[in-house]
Amino acid sequence: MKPKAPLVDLNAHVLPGLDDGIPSPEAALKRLHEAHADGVRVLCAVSSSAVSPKARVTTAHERLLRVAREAGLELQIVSGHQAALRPDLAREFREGSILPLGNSGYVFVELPPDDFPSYTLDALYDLSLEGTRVLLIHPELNYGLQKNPALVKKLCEMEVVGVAAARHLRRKSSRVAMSSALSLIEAGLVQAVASYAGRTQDRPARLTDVAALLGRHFGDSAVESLLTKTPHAISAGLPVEMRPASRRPLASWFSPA
Amino acid sequence: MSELKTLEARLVSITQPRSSAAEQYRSLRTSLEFLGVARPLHKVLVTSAVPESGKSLTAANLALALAQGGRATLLVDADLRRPSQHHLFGLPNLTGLTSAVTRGGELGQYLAPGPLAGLRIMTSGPIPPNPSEILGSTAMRDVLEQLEAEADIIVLDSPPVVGFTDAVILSNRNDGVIYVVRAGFNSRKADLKALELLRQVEARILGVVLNDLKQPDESLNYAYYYNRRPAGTP
Repeated sequence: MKPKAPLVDLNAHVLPGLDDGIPSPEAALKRLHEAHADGVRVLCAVSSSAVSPKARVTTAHERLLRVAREAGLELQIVSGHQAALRPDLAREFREGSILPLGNSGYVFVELPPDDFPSYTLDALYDLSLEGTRVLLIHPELNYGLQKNPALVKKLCEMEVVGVAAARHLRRKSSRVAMSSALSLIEAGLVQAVASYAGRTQDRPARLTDVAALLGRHFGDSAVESLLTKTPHAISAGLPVEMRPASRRPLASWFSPA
Repeated sequence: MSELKTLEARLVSITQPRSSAAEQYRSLRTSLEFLGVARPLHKVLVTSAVPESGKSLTAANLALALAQGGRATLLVDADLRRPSQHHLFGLPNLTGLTSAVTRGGELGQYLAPGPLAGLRIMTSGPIPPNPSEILGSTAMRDVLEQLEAEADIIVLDSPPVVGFTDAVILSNRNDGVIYVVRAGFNSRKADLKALELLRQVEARILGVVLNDLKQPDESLNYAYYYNRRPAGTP
């Protein structure tokens, strides 16, 4: 099943000149055209809060908007930060150094790849007490979550929403990342998939090419939920209803319990 | 009427007020009023043995029925394991009970207006990593005491009793417990265990709501006859 437009891409590193994103406005426009051709009509341009202060993100966002407008692209572009996990995340947000995703009230948080620090749950709770909702960016890369299903369950109970990168669901990605992404979708932590578009060839601004794989594993309704329904809800600032128990890989219906 | 679009259809007390299910919630309201004659009921906890028994729906419909009856009602979502009142009423849940307990401040800021004039709703707020500690804290007790001044009656939705200590903690901080059983779903063993746990903390069990009982034919209900218009009327 190919998801129907309009799609929402929650995480694209296409802000020109920022962190690991696109080097120039021209290259950014190429990615925007790619996203538009794929059916994306709302795109969240994201950059790391550690290296791109609020003012730089705002300037790069304005440049991107101008480029898209001049090219006549029918694409709504919002910007936001991905904040690296730190114990004082809530304070940073309160002080205004972390940008939420547009006006949605959702904030992207990135876990360190090789660790699940003991303060993680408290830091995420403190951040949500600031009136935000937490999105975990590509949680499939976190070693702690790969090894400890109890942590995944805890995050689901706290209604933290994971957003997997389409990059990790393609054939060329690392097997560990793909297996982890699929496990987290099954567990219910990952509720949406974003392109994670960037400057390199293996990070295109495409979403629909992973629909077949997702459909094979979880069925058509999960494809709709992961690529269309939940991203729309997030971009509109609506709560995502967690249903961890309802998503079961199709293969498991045919295997012994 | 636009507000109704965001409400769950299962909130029959408001979406289908003439249905037999809505009538049952009004009967529950009447029973509570009788029970409150001897010893006033200000805070009522709704719980069950296991999840998916319909306690959140019962709590929501009961709160609506109480508000329809003219009582200033407050519905508090104290189910910090899987809160659902914000989904039922289409509310944002960015702040709520946990914000009030953790951050404090004026309680009015955490209350959302319900679909009826007499009903206000405090959603769960962000879910903490340690719900039992939050619910068992002195700050939680203080919030519940302060909330008493906000309404005639408070209906608290809580997590199931078996498996979590939350409902047991809350049960003796309330004036009574309504215990929900889903027909053909709950195991007798789980119900006995849950009731035993509630008795151990001397919770006042007000009664049991039998939920989701299949009726063979809706047309056999008395409600049908009451609602039916005589032949020839427009």
